[in-house]
Formats: sequence, structure tokens, C-alpha cells
Amino acid sequence: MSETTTTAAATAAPAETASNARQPILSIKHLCKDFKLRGDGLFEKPKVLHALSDVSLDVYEGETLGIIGESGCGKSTLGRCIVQLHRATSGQILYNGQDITGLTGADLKTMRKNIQMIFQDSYSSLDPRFTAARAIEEPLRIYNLVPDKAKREQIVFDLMKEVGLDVQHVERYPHEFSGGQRQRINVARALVLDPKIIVCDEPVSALDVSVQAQVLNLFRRLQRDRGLTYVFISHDLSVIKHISDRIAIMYLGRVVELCPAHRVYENPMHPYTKALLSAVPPESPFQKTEELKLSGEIASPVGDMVGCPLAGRCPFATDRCRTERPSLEEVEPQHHVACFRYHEIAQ
Amino acid sequence: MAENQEHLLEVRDLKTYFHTSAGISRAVDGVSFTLDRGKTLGIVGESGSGKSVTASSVIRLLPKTGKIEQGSITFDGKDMTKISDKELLSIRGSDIAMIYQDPMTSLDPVFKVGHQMVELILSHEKMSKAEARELAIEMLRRVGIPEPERRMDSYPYELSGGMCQRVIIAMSMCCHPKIIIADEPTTALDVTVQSQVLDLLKELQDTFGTSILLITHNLGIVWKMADDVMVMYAGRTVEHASTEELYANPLHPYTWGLLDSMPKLSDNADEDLKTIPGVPPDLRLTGTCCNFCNRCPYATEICEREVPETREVAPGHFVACHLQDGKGSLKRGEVRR
Amino acid sequence: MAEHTSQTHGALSVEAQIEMVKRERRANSAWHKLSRNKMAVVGLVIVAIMVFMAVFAPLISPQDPNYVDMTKAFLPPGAEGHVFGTDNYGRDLLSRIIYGARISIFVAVGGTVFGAVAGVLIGLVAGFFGGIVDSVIMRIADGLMSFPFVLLALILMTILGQGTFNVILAIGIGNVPYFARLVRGQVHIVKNEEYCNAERVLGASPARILFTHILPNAISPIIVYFTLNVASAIISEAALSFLGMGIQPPTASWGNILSGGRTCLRTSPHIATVSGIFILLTVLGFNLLGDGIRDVFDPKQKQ
Repeated sequence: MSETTTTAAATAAPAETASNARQPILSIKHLCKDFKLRGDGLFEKPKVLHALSDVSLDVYEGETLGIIGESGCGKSTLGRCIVQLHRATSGQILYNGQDITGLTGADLKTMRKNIQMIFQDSYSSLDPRFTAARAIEEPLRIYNLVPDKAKREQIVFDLMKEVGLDVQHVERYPHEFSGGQRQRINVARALVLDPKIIVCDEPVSALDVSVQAQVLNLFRRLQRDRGLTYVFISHDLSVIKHISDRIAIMYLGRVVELCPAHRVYENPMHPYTKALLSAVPPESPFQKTEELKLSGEIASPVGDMVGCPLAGRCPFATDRCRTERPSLEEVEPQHHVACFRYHEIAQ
Repeated sequence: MAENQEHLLEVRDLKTYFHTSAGISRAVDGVSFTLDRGKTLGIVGESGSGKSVTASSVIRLLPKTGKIEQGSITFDGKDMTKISDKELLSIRGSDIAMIYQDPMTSLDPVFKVGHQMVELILSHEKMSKAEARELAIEMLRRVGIPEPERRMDSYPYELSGGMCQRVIIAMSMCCHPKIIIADEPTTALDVTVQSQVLDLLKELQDTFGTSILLITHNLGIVWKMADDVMVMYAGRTVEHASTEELYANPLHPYTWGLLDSMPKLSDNADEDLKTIPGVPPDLRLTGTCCNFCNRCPYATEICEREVPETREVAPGHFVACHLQDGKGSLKRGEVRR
Repeated sequence: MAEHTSQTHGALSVEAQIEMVKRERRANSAWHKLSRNKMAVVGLVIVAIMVFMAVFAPLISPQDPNYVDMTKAFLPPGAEGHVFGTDNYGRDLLSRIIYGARISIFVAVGGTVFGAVAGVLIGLVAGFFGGIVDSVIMRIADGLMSFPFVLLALILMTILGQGTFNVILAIGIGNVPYFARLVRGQVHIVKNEEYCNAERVLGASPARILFTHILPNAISPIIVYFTLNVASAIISEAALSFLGMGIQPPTASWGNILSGGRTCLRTSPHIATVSGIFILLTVLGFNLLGDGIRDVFDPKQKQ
């Protein structure tokens, strides 16, 4: 499939110039998600795990918002809240201005057509008893959009071609595909309903390098051709930087930095972002990275916390960091950071 | 093997096949390499390239259907393919240590960490239980575990993934192994933890002079850790050189593809990544042509007919490609078709 | 940018790979795997013979099973053309065994089907909805399971009264909690699979997820348990009939033939022995077949 250079690239232009004027297609406002854990002892009170604490993000049409963080930072929970697999504890998620957190029944079903998701594990997200064709046409059957069998088949064939699958493989089962091909099936299935937003939860982390590159290119091509909006979740900074227009860096259920993609590499401000950058393996054997090391390990998200979530590990932490929580503030145009001392650290 | 005493591990023309009900799968199909004392060899490849099976073959830890068909594996003067099971058991864990991808499954969940370490030490070294415990605590401290005395009484599930991997490393270092086989040791870990664990491995290597056989899919880790690197594809070596040489002067089309398809932080993100089209072949169909020919933009008719020999095109730089003589017979990016 | 997965080269061509997949499919097909398991084939053959006997009883049985000839009572096997001899009323034992297969297998399969259908539905509901519904259903199941199976069936028979259909009902009801519990466990595993989440995101209703995804993926252990359970249902039927609460004479069932043989065990041991052997063989057959099917479905034995 040859790559088409479309003029639609303009819709994917970096959000930094236009986003102020545009209305966000998806707006997350003060989103919190708690999970109740059973207490240790028989009579102990249940504990609360704060997976997301006061997350606010705007996503604009046609852009890719990258979300990065380490395991347990809440990035997957955020993705699952957006597609309503988890119900938010508090806060709002607005799709084109309409709050979707409380939707049920038919309203929820209608909304779901617009927001789709692609999961990390390409194998377990496909029913092992469905062939590729059956999996891709499943959404059409759910909504009974195309009752005609031949037409459905044609739609499936076209989509398989669009995502780079061999049409000869329609009758194969998931285990007979490689990881990359399976992920293409997942993409095709998500595209059948022609959604506006796709939440991608680590879609390439389980893939090999060469296949990962193919799938990343596929995502970008689909975005150009269809004007899709992505919320792209990953733990791999290089991948996120490559695919995203803007990046949100999360730590312990909070957004600590939000900036245009290239800024994360050129001018990271939050100590955690810096630590992440310096931990990325080198690009050549000759590269020696200056490392900013964080001490210890990620704190537990269970129970209430005061102060900056990074305070316990940050080499720059002061008493203020331990008692007061920094809020996410716009310190440069389009560049938000939640740190009291970012300007001192920058030097 | 007197002339090769300087090599700690020498693998020659190793072939490991899997016999499945639907045919013979050539998981490793003629791989040769050497590893010297105190050095690190990185084996890079995608899934199905045979890198993990190569490592498992060295310690003869293959599933029932797998069999070493051909080749020799000489470790410290002994042929690993011929020694008795008893000898093999005493080598595993003492002279050769293994670190796997998933640290949680490498530790027995029903025993305390300390108990497992002490058992391992006692099975290989002659010392009292108290001495073994002392040694275990000392090793835990060395790998940077806070409060090692308390951690001895923890169960594996009480530790995080990074901590578990540190415990595994501590365990593997207890008997001063000559070689550590690390199969994707940091793939399951977060980046910041990954860099800590890699630093730790390197530090221990410098202290004890251990060799490391590092299996990974991540070239960045190879740049950071390895002295030499071997690139594998569909069961065969495609290129083998020192790390610096491979980065500065890669010669095989697959290596080019691999280098190009990694997204880099310093890249201009507006361009699409260069990719290798297609998918790796079914390992039951390989062995009659260059295994890369169906994805190679440079492939000619000879590539479909013959399996390429591995040639030394420059001192220490081996390439398995019909078209590449190392002197510019094939240039990166010049597709002749 | 060539993103397509098309290939044209020799042994690595798409056609060769498709051929490989076909070979793999054949090698891994359920039938192929089952046929490689010798004990399962033995089980299958036994079950097939018994079912054949039951279905074609009128055609293969040498005599009317209820034809009484008191002059020929207690004939030993082989005498006067009676392969298995005769019973205390002079009825041909072979004919009674053949017709008995009909009743015994019908009752066992019928009871198990009843238990399976009801148990699967209840288990699906309990597993899928969880919470209070789940707790209530499972506590009731626990209660039923705390009775020994035969005791429970006896109680049910006393309540329901005698009759072939009631035997089926009694065995069926006794089986419901076991199926329900098995299915509930399976549903708990499958409903947390990512493809069920994917289906929810696509907008599918709970009923659709339950019947198009969860049930088909939970079915293999149910089939295994079903097969093994037919074996124990045959024993249950025999036990009930033996105790006089099951199939009532003169209708022949293996259980009441065995029961009749008990009274004359000293003088004519062949009556109890032959019926006992048929019960044993059939139970063995279903058990071997069940084990074989389990091995086929076990993903760990994929090679």
C-alpha cells in the first residue's frame, strides 16, 4: 500500500498555534478515580487507592495527545475512564461539550461509536473463536448498521486493505497471525464505526521494533486520511515523542507536565520528566547521558498524600514540596508544569 | 580446545530445532559466536529470531520438543552438549547464572527471599547456614536493596518488579558465576528502574569480572551495555561486530532496517519512520534461501536460491549477505531493483 | 512506503505460509488430536457401541425383553441360544441388557442435559452479574452440594414420585449446582479477558457479550464435565434402581437388572455380573472419552 501524501496534513498541524482558538473535542475536567481495596485484617477499614487525582486535559480535533508515565501512574486508568470502561469517581469528561461520565443505555451506546479504543495486548483483545473477518464486522452487527451480508464483507475487505492486511487472511483465527498483524485487525475493528477519537493504550509496546515502526506509521497515515484524534498512552518516551503533538507526563495519578512534543526533549522542566529522559537508553554507543537519578521507588498510591507526589524521590525537594501540592500551571505558552522549583532546576 | 582457552564460551554452528506436529521449526539454524572473560555480548533480534533459544541451548534448558541437532557449545573447556545432567546441574546456578525477563516468575512465591538465597548458596558452596545467610545479606546490600536484613524475610510478592530483579541479580552473583545469561532482563521494568538495573549489572561485572550474554530486542540497551553485538534474524546470524563498529558501519540490510525503524528522541517527528515491510518468515519454511529475502529491498535472484555464508568482511566484522563484501558492493539506501 | 505484507519470494511466499497454516490447523484440529490419544479412542468406541445398542435395540435384540417363560428361568450363559442366559422369570438377559442400555443411557444423558442446561444458565447469570445475585445463587448451590448426591436424588424421588421422567428430573436437579459452579468460575475468568472489554467499548449489550463471547469461550470445560458426568449419572441411575426408587420393573434398566440379580447371587451369579460389567464398561468409556476431550482442549498440550 503506497503512502498517500494528503493535504489533510494541515488538520494534524501542531496544536500550539491554533488550540487556543479551537474548542476541544474532548475535555477532561478534574477527573478523579479511586479504587477501594480490602483492608489487611478482617476488621480493618477498606483502603482507597487514588489512581487518578484531579486530572484536567483538553484534546483538540485532529491532534495526538500523548500520555506517558511509569506503571501505576494512572495512564491506563485514564484511558479506560475516557471510553467508560471505568466510571469516574468525580469530575467530568466532555465530548463536544456533552458530559459522558453519567451516560447509560442507548445514550452510552451512541456515544461509544465516537470514542474507540485499541488495547495493548493484541491477542487477548480478540476473541480467539472469531476469524479476522468476523472480528472486524462485529461492530456493524452490534449496531446492525449494514444488514446486507455482501456489503458487510466489502466493508471488511476495504478496511483490511486500508490497514495493510492481506485479504487472503480473512478466514484466519487470531493465533494464526503475528502480533503486528493482530494489532492491524484491532485497528480495523476500531475503525469500522468511523470514530472521531481513538484511545490507544500502549498499542505498540508488545511489538517488535520493525513491526512497531510499521504500526506507528499506520496510525499516522490513518490520522492524516481520516482526521482522527488520538489519545496515545505509552511508557516509551521515544514512541510518544514520535507520534504526539502534545505530551502529558503523569506521575502517581497526576499530570506533572504538559507541553508540545518537541519541548519535552528540548526543554523538560519537571524533575520527573528530566529523570525519564535521562533513563532512556542511549541512541548510540558513543552517547554518554548526563543522568538525573531519582532515589528509591514510586510511592504507593494507596491512602491520602500531602505535598508533591515526587517529593520523596526528588533531589531538589524542599520542605514546601513535602507539605504543599504544586498545581499544574502554564509557565510558558503551551507549556504547563506542576513544580515549585522548575525555574531553579532549569539552570 | 586448548587453542581457545581465552574464550570463556564458544558456540560453533549451533542448530536447535523444534519438532512440532506441523513440521520442523528451525529456531536456531547455524549460529557461531565467542564470549571472552569480563566481556558482554549482546544478541539482538525480534521475536522468533532465535536469540532466546540460543541462550537456552547454552544451558540446555529447552522445552521437550526442542533438540540441539548440531554444533558444539564449549564453556570453560567443557562441551555443554556432551556433559552429564549432573554436571550440568552443578554448572547452572554456580558457573552460569540466568536472569529472565519476568522477575516475579523466577522466584518461588511460597518461600521467603532469604530462604531461597540461602538454599541456592548451600547447594553450590560448602559453608554453614549462618555464613550463607551473611553472604546473602551482603549480596542484597551490594545490589542496592535497602534494609537487606528485613528483606530476607519478605516474600517475592511483597517486592516490586525492580526489587525482585535486584534480588535475582543478587542471587545469581552469590556463587560468583563466570557468566550471566540475561534474557531480556529489563523488558518488564519501567525505564527509570531499567536504567538502575543495567547500571547495577555493569557495576557488578566490573567488580567480579563476570561475562554477560545479553539477550535483548532493544538496541539502546546494547549500546549501553555490550562490547560486541550479534544481530539475529529467523534463526541465523546476519551481522556480528563490535558495538561501535556495528553502529558506525552497519552492513546488512536487516541491520539497516532495524536501526531505521527505532524512533529516536532526537528525530524530527514530522517524518514517518522507515520500516522493514512485511513480517518475518515461518521458521518451518526457512533454510532454502536468504531468510530475509522476502523483506529485503535489495534482494536479487541469488538471494532466493542460496543461503548466504557468514563472511568476515573486516577484522571482527561478520556479515551474512550475498551482496555485501564490506567494500561498498551494497550501499545503504541504494535500491538497485 | 511499502507497508503491505505481500511477498513473492520462493519458499517464503504468502502461498507457502498459508499452506503452513493449513497444515497446522489440521494437526491441531480437535478430531486429529483426539484420534492420537489411544485411550480416548477406546472410550469413544465403547460409547459408540453402547449408543448403537440403545438406538437400534428393537433391531438387534434377539427376543422381546419382557417375554416371560418360567420354564427357562435361571439358564446359565450360552444355554439354549441365550448368550447371557436368562433371569428369574426366564427372560432373555441379552435382550434385557440391550433394552436396558436404552433406558440407562437415556436417563443418564437426559439427566445430565437437564442439569447442564439449567446449571449453565444459572452459572452464567451468577458469574456475569456478580454481587448479591451471585452470592445468593452460590449459597443455595453450596447447600444442595452438601447432600450426598444419591441421598439428594432419593429425597427428590420421594417427593416427585416414581417414573422414568422423574428419575431424569432427580438426577438433573442433583447436577445443577455442580454445573452452575463450574460455569460461574469459567465466566469469572472469561469476562475479565480483554476482548470482553473491547466488546463493551464497541457498544455491545451485556446479553450479547454473554452469549457471543463468554459462553462459547467457557464451553470446553463444560463439555468435558458433561461427558464425565454422564458416567456418574449412569451410576446414579443404577444406584436408584438398585435401591428400588429408580426405573420400575418390568421395564429393563441396568440398575434394576443388577438389583434383581442380587437376590440370586449365589445360584445364578451371571445376572448381576453381566449387568455390572455393562455398567462398568460404559462408565469407563465415558470417563476415557471425557479425559481425552479434556486433553484436546488443554492449551498446554498444543504441540
